[in-house]
Amino acid sequence: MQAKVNERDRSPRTLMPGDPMSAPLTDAARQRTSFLNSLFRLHYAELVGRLRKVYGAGPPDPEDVAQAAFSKIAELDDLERIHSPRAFLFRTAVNICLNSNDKLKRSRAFVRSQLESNFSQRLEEKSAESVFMGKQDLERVAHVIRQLPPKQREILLRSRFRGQTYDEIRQETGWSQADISRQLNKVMALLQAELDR
Amino acid sequence: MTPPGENSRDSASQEDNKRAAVARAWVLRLSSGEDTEADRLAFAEWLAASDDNKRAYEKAQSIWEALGDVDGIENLLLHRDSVTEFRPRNSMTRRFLVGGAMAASLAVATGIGFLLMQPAPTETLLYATATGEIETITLSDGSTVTLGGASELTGEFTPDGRTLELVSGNAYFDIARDEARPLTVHTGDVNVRVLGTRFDIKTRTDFVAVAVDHGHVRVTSPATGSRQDLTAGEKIVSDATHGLSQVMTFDASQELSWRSGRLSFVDAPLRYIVADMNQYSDRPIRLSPTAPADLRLTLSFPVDQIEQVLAGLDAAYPVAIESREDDILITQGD
Repeated sequence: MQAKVNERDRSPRTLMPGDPMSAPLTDAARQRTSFLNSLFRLHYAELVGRLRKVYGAGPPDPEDVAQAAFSKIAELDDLERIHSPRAFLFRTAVNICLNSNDKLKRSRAFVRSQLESNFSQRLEEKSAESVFMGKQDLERVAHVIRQLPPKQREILLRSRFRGQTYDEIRQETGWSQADISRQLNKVMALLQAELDR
Repeated sequence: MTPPGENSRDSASQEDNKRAAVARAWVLRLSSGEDTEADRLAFAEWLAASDDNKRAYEKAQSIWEALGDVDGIENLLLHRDSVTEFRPRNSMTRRFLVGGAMAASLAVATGIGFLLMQPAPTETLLYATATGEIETITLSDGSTVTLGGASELTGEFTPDGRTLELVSGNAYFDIARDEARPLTVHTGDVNVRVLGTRFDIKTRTDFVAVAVDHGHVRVTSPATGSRQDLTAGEKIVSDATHGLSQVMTFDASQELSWRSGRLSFVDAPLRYIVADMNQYSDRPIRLSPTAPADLRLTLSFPVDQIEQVLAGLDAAYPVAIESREDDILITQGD
């Protein structure tokens, strides 16, 4: 029951997201560690579970990837800008996996360098999680995915999440590279059409 | 008539569509692991060629990136049972059942003669919000009702009166004044009767809270036979064992902040906060029997940052938060 508001003899411990502990600044480092520990307790097991669904037993080993994702989060200066740690950790973990494929890593680095030379300012601002799409748009993305035929989902899983090259997908499934490319282009067109609606 | 410039607009939008398709193809090509040095040079040239190209690329890339942020994407993509495995969340599932339309079709079916013997048609209302959704509805009398997450409101408007029932959750009522048709809200074990006013009601399994923002209301508890008039800034709580509480004052900026998507609590017990969080959390939050349910906290946070707040609680208070597949469990911590 919410009590009658009475500010007199209380020092309220207001807890704000991103500024979780209203403690003296001298405690900032300790509080940060404590906060990271609690994030770990709250999300580690579930993150490993999600990664296991994508990668199976590995490689990459889901536990290693989850640990690496937490290390990345621990390096961030702007922890307070992450408003959904669960989604952010999963995104980070998947990116770590994509980067474990040298070809993909090289291309990703190239794209980043191109974008940075063109949009230096804007990318700076995007350090943490600010690029996340809104909840309703993500729900629309999910809506499209749910209606995709199994083949397109399979290709999406392999390319976007497992970080397999088209040639690797071809070797395991027998689908041609041109077919894989065509299927993914279709999926992307559907997604954009839904989001632009 | 074709307005001037229509054709050029059409071709401009065709141009945009083509550009978007090229941008998507580049995103995919550069994620394929098959891109060549020549591809990368061509891409750099295309990207630098115009701001429109850059924007189109950014957009396409953001779609590709967003795939990783879809909740439960791993279940969606593993095509076995992916539909049933997926936990639907916050889809816009507001249900409408507008009795006005039902009454109208009844009138057509039964003919005018029958209708003349009847009082004017009753208007039946049924509104519900999904978890995480906050929705403002305008009723036929000009009143508006803002429903919090996971809330349900039903009602009937007749020429003689207006009756609403808050079945679950909470709602802020801004009721249009109508001397001839007073309005009553039923909820839990209390009735709230008004002419025209603004007030807030929250209904829980074990209590009901009514807070008046403007004007006055009369709260009655038929079970205990008690009643109380409230004016602006006053609040009352009713539970099955004690009936109506003493009248309290409240801070509207805290108490009513949920309407803009922010939950605020001053010295409130954890179990009370968890009940409110559950109107907005994707996964239900449960208090284990060992959890310090009566721990009193002062908190303020946006409804989309519940996970973050729980992590903060875990760090700062003797509670442990365990995130599981289907729920979030709060237990005693150190």
